[in-house]
Amino acid sequence: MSTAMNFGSKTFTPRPPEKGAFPLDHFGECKAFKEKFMKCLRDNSFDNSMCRLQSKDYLECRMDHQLMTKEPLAKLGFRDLMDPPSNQSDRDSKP
Amino acid sequence: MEDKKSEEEEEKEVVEVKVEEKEVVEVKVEEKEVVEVKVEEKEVVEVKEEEKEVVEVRTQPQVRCPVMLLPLLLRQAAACRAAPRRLLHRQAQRDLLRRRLPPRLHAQSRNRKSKSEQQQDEWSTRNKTVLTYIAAAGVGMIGLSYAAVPLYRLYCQASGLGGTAVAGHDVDQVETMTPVKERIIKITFNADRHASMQWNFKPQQTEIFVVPGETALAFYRAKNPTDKPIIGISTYNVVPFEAGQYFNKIQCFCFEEQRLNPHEEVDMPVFFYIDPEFDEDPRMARVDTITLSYTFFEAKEGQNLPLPGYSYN
Repeated sequence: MSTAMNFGSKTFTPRPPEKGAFPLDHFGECKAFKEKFMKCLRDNSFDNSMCRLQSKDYLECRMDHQLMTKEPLAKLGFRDLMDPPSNQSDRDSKP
Repeated sequence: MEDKKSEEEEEKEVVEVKVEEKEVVEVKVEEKEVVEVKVEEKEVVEVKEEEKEVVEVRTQPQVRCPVMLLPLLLRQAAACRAAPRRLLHRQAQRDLLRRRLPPRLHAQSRNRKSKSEQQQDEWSTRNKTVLTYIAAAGVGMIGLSYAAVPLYRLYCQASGLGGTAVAGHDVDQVETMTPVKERIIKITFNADRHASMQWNFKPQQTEIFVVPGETALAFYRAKNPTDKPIIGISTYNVVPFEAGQYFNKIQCFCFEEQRLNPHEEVDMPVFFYIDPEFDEDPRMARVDTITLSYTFFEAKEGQNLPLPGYSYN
């Protein structure tokens, strides 16, 4: 890949993440949630769509332990996972 | 009688001598005139060499290097010399000895000479103007290339491109996007480290299936097996390159220094999504697999690595 000398063609420019970097989980506080997520993935042949609930739980754990800035989950793309019906999810999506 | 005759003869002789003297004087006068005429002619020829557009022949000896008429002043200043006059003088004398009447013949030869000289002069002017234009174009190009740097920066600021070709990477898109369930993409993960980096770094899943418009989570694991803390910093790469513009990371562990204590092991998550416009791009129609590759480097103390996409000016 890196030996291909493409002059002028589109090269990859890495972009910084939108919300910055995750602080490292040095104490393994959310390791349990991670394990649940990985197990779900392995069971579902690594289909992400089936394991969105577990990923939501993991991110919530991170937010609880100050490992991630708190944000409404709808902003993280979990609008469809909000349990209450549409009117409440509208309230959730409001900043 | 004889005396008278001899007197008359003497007178005649004297008259003849006088006549001869007069002739000589006349000849001398002619010589002077010829010299003058020649000097004028040479000046005229010089002038013609220098004035390439003047057609009339000047006979005034006041013509020095005419400054006002010519585009190529420098060359004339160098060419204006008074040396040829001495040669002219000798030439005139030689002509006189042969009793040739100079002006007419010289007029003819002057015309012949000046025609070819004129042509040559025309060509050399043309060459010089062309060279000047080319040199000006070259200098202009160099100046343009120097000016292009701030101009491009201004253009990027104005148009907001700044390196990203796809607009609309705002956070609200994450909120409002709907997953395209028909298009399943396989994301494979790769982990690399620099040769001198002693961490153990590997992904916790080799692949994951996502659809565009849906946020996904993936994990890497890093372990520091050594006895001293090591600070690492990572960058990532997405293959194929064109798909990289649709690969948006919400949060990850790259581009910031991460410190691992001795014998510490951590999980590093990557939270990302594929832009739903991925499905509409005709170039991505046959792309089924995207590979995300992270590489860790060791960060030295006090080093400031520039973040991509930001300019520190």
